[in-house]
Amino acid sequence: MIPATIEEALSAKAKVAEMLKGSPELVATGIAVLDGGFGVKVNLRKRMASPLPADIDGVPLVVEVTGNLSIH
Amino acid sequence: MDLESATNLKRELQSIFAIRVRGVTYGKLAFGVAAPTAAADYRVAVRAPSEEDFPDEARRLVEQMTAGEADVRVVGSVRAIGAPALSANRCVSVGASIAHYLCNSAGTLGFFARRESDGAIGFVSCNHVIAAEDRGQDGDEILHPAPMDHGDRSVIGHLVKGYPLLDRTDPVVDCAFARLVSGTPYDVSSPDPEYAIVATDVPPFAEREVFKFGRTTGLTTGHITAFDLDTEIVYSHNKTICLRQQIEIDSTAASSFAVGGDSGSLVVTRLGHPVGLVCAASAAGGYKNHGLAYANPIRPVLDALGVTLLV
Repeated sequence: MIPATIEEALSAKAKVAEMLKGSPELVATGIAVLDGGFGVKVNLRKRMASPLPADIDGVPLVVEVTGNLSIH
Repeated sequence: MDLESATNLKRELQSIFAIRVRGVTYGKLAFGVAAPTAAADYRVAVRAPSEEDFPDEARRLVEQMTAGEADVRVVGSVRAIGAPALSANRCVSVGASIAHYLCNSAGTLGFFARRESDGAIGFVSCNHVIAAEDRGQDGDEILHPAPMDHGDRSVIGHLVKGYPLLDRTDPVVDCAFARLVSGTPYDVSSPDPEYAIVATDVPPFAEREVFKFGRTTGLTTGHITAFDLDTEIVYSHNKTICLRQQIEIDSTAASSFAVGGDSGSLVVTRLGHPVGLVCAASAAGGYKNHGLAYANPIRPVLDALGVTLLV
């Protein structure tokens, strides 16, 4: 998968956020920093029943199970 | 078990052992959640300083309550590092242990700063460290070291009103500024000359390699894995707040980039440019599944507080 530009990643992030809105597994959406460019980062509380696609409009999607975030 | 079950069970065990089990106090035991491995799902983590601190009766209770899904280890004594105590010949420095007087916890002095409106000198950390999660009032005492740390305690600062509240629409920062008490010796420079800090901040996509000085883990290194994260963060009393535009950092060593007590640490790129302020960490994910650290972007922190970073 070829890393995207920051503008492409921002656009794809908005789509992913809309797609996952209300999902109980979702913790965060953001811009992933990749070698040579950017992707979309999705952090999950736990694995989703249906896996997410590898890309959104050609922008790489990086999915990670982080559990909850808490203050430190 | 899943993460939520492990967390709930951990709290239950913590409550039981905090009170007493058949007349014996088990104050030296620590409870947490063990991250999943290839062989097991989430489990309750129990850590004891010695075998004597975790007798058979306690062990049986843990096994019963967790149905055997516990990760029990004897780890020896655990102590905080990187929390220099204030004394006549030692300055308050970046990375020091601090806390709001109401908080029975500890955080980190991130950096020293000058307020632009009147030139007052002070320091910056997280709201949840020095402003007690929006409860802090103008002039509240900031202690060094934090009450939970050892050492002669001093009031080194007074909270300044007008800090950005967490309880508002679309918060980006978890930060506050405290005025330094007059006469307090302080040192604005980096605690390690090999990891210099300069005054010019950069956005999170400018440089990947970063470091920080924290109250608990001292100097750690990592790299930025994501930014512009809109993320849920669990605060006290299980209150969840969605912070916008956060930076995600993974460790480059076999331990976490930041853990409890490191909140407020300044995240700096390897070239010395401030980039973020540590505020949270995840339970899992990242290198060796040690969890990831999260930081506010530094420019909104400086702008919201109306301060300039001192180096």
